[in-house]
Amino acid sequence: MLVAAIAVAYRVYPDHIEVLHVGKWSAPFGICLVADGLAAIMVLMTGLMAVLMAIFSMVTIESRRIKDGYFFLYFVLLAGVNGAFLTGDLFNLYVWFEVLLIASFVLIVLGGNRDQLDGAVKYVTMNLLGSVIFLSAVGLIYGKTGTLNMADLAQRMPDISNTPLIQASGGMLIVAFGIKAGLFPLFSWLPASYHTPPHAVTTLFSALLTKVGIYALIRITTLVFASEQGYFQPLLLVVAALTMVTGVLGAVAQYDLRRLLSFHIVSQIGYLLFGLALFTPFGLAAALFFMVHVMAAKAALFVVSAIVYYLRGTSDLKVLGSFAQLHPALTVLFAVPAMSLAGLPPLSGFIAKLALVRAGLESSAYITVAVSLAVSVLTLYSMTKIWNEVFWKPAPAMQSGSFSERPLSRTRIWGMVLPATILAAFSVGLSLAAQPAFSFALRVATQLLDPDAYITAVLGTPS
Amino acid sequence: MTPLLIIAPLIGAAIAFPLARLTGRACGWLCAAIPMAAFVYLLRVLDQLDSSTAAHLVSFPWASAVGLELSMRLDGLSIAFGLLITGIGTLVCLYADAYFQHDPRRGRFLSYLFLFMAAMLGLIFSDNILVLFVFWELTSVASYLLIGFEHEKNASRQAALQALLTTGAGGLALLVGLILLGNAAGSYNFTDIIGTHGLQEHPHYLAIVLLVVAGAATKSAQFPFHFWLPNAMAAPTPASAYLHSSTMVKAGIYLLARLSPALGDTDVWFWLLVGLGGATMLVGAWLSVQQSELKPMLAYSTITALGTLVLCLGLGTPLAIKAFKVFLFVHAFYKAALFMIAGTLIHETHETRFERLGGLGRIMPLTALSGLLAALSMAGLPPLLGFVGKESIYEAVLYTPVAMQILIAVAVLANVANVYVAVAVGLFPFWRSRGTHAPVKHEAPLGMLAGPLLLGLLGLSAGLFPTALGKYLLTPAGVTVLGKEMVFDLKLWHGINTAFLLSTITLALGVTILCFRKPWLRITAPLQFLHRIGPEAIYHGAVNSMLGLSRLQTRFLQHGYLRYYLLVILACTIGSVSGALHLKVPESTLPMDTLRLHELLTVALIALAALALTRVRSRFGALACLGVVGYGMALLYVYYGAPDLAKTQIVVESLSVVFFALLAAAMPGFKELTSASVRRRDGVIAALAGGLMGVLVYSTLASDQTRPIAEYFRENSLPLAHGRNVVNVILVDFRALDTLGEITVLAVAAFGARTLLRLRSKKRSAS
Repeated sequence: MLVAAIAVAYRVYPDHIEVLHVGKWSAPFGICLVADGLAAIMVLMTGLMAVLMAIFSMVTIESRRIKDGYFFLYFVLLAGVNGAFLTGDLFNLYVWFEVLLIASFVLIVLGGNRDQLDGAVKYVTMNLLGSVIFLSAVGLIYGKTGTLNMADLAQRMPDISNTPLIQASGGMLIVAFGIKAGLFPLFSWLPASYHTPPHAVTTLFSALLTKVGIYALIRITTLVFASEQGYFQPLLLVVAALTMVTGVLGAVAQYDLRRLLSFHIVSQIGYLLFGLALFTPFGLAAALFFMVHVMAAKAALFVVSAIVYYLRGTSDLKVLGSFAQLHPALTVLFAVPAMSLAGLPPLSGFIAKLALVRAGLESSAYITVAVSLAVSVLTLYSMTKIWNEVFWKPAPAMQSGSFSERPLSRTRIWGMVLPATILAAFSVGLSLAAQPAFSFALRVATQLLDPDAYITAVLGTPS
Repeated sequence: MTPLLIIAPLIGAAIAFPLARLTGRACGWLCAAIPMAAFVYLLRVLDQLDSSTAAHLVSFPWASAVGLELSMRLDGLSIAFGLLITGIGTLVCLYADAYFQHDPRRGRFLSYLFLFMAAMLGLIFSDNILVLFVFWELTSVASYLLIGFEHEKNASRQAALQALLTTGAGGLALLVGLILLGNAAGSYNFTDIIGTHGLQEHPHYLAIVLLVVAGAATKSAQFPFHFWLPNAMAAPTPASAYLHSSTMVKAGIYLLARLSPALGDTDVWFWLLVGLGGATMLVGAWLSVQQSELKPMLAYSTITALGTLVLCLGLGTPLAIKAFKVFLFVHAFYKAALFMIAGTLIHETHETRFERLGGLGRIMPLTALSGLLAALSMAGLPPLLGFVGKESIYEAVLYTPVAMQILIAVAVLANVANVYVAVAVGLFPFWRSRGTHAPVKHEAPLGMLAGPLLLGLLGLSAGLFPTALGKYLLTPAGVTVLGKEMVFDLKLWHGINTAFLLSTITLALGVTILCFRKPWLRITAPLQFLHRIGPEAIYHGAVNSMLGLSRLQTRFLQHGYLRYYLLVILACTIGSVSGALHLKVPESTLPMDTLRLHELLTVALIALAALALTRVRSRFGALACLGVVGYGMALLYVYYGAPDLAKTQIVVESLSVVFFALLAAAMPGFKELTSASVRRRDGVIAALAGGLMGVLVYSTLASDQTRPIAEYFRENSLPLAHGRNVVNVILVDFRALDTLGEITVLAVAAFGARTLLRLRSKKRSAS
């Protein structure tokens, strides 16, 4: 899959848009799959995550779950994610959303216990409601325009823009995708469910699921509702700021490693939305760069948290400790993505933050910039909280003499350390290669903000 | 060669750890070679700069797309700082080696120290302001590691965190300030920024100055951000010596000096820096005379010194810049030396209070000598460089056009505190008859002696021959700060003038306070309450209230009740939709008379059933109502010519009713769990959501419709796809991918059901 993704990316780089008309029914009549720069980036990252998480899953998922079809669901989920990234049809997007929703739901409950069921029910109920809203909006849009192809919609939109109906259905789509992406105040399903399944599942979800929501937001606001950007911008900026703040405050309050990291996902989504909501090439490029960075850094942190969990059998910060003393290599493996996530230079998170702040200042979005920086101090605080409690602090059990660690087999350790190392190295590499990476992001952003190329590629005729 | 200045210490950081394991004793000496080489190289570059305004520039690409360019600028100012960092760095390396002689953590410490050195060198040599910021943050990270070095101790962890958060928050203000500055100047390089005229008139000028100064003030421990610095002494002493004398805290000073040609020379700049520096001097002076432990005394006196430097930059006159440069060196020399001496004393005696030390002069004569030199320099006595420094500060203040009297008073008070600290740390432990500490048997080891002694002798020789220092080092640096040509003429002896008179007063006052320490502390005891309401209390308050707020909001937002989560989602949908509709129902254009009676009746039936659903008190009743709604919908499909859809609907509806009926039998009895008010609220939301959807659908139907796709499907179904049933053709051919996806969904759902059932049966067999 990674190979296919690289092939797609190679075809698409730097400016090409690849279109596949499924069943040879030409757009807008049939469904088409479209790989532009954005889709290529997303598919590429999905491919990378898929490979790494497969390794991670092989060593951590119990054989009972694997026998129950863990990897079947794993690949259905990936199919859903890739389908969502590649489709050029609004209803087809809905279908892929359903695929990945049901696959992820079953992945959570697979061989699970009561906690997982509870989390999964919240997850699936809220997301189903989101799907209903999505479907209603699709129906309304179809009723108004008579088409579902996104390029076709984009072409027709300017004639009917600014009508309350279109804005209302756009608003509904934003709510629906907002649930998926974990925006304020719709994110509750995420912290409620992410800490319950096995670590490999959480890691995969954190890297992909919310990003599908953000991807959909980017796609519809830059393509289908490109003419309504002015209407949605203030709303999106406010939501972005609130998402950042509530997410990070939620994280600060947690004492469970995985819950803390889960809340962070929400906070980071706020940054992505901020970059998008500026609707400038620089802002959008910053958001894309940020997205790639956060997928890798976040996944690395989740894998490290898994190693911590499998060594000590708990994720409770109060009980953990002494890792810096006992596992110096693991300490470095945590420090790199943690610094990156907190936006400390010279890692990729800093470049992403710098680009976002610059973009925000250039658009005079001073308040959101101030909020994002305050949030980044809090992010730093919560990362040092993990650092202090897990790595620096002497483990409480050490003092009472009841300290013990579970022995882990060599394959198990390397199966976890390898993905974490690759992801951490990815973060470092992304900052070293910031120039080519960011200029590509900038090209993609320019491509997104000027949808004519996309429309022409899909429909064949220049509009 | 030049990039090696930063790369070499990084290599040092990487090799220090294995080196410490391999070589043992020689490790520190080997490591010290790195900063030593850098020091020599910098001297050579300084020598080669042909005129005092020239700069040596090197540039490499990194990420110019975001404004990051690895360019280095070696000019008078950065080389002056660079010499301090590498020179004192060399001595600290040697000192640390001896300090950690039998400690397995030596390699790790040296590693952090080199990281820190690399960050500092990168900071001062960056020409790009964003890259400067990168290194700025790296110094914060490196100092976090150093301050929290003894991380088993809670105090160390807290101090490290405090330093990181304070400087980190200031750093972010700085980031915004630098980006605004870069945008205003049209370039992110110092070389261009300094050459840009009229920045002072830019609309963002005030914001830039405030943000940059905020960043510098947190880093350089200016009031009210000074509190982290004394706590940072949780770091091992060699790190403190380095942090306080030439690195960390000097970063902010460097930045202000660097930017003063571009941003200075305005009232805002003057009052901001003079006010900040003055307040910091007073606070530092006050706090340092309250202490009796060696390291805190030195730490607070560092705050005083930093305030002095900022004050000089704020004054901005050539005299003040001269004072700035001299005092920068003076302070670095004596502060590094005194910290090392304090470290030696604590290391040998395990005693931290100066009153308990005494009689060490005979046992440790060389340490005593270096203590004497450093203390005299700090107290500002001739013939040491400290005297020149203090005189030049007094001179600068005396020739200030405004507020001269106040500034003189501030400067005198600050120097009184310096005298006090100098005597207490550098003289007291050696020359007093005897102390109450454990007996010391031998002189400090060579590594721990070399630094203080060398620095003391440097202070002495620079004091005796100030002309050389002024000509080769201070003139180029001062020119960079002032932005115009000038020559520094340093002299040791100016004759008996006002400045000299002030020096005498200072000395007398300082010694007096020290002699009457006990009564002094008694008199000032009532003022101790200031510490409780000071900035540090505010910091703790802020952190605690942030934690409180976060707990509160998490309880509020993440309460765990699914029904409220769903409520929020619905409310958001209603909000976004009604916002778009501007709360107006669109004008009707749909002809109402096409509606037929049986259609209306069916709709009414559905509505009634839905209403009844909310009122029934039994599961089967609710089921019946749901069934009516479902079959009613099927009827509607029939009316509008969609028999396929109607068939599907009927099948789905029948099946779900049957399933529900089967399940309901197994469920517990129906109970009323919600109160009337809750139901009323839910009713309102449900009605709103339903009503709004109705309005939307209605207005969709009402608007003129185009159906190009549907027409295409109808026309091409038979000729192209060979199927008569258009719906079927759409499902399996035109939009086959959708169907494939939905089939997958069903398959996975069945799979999930199987999993859940197995879970259940497993539980049963277990119990």
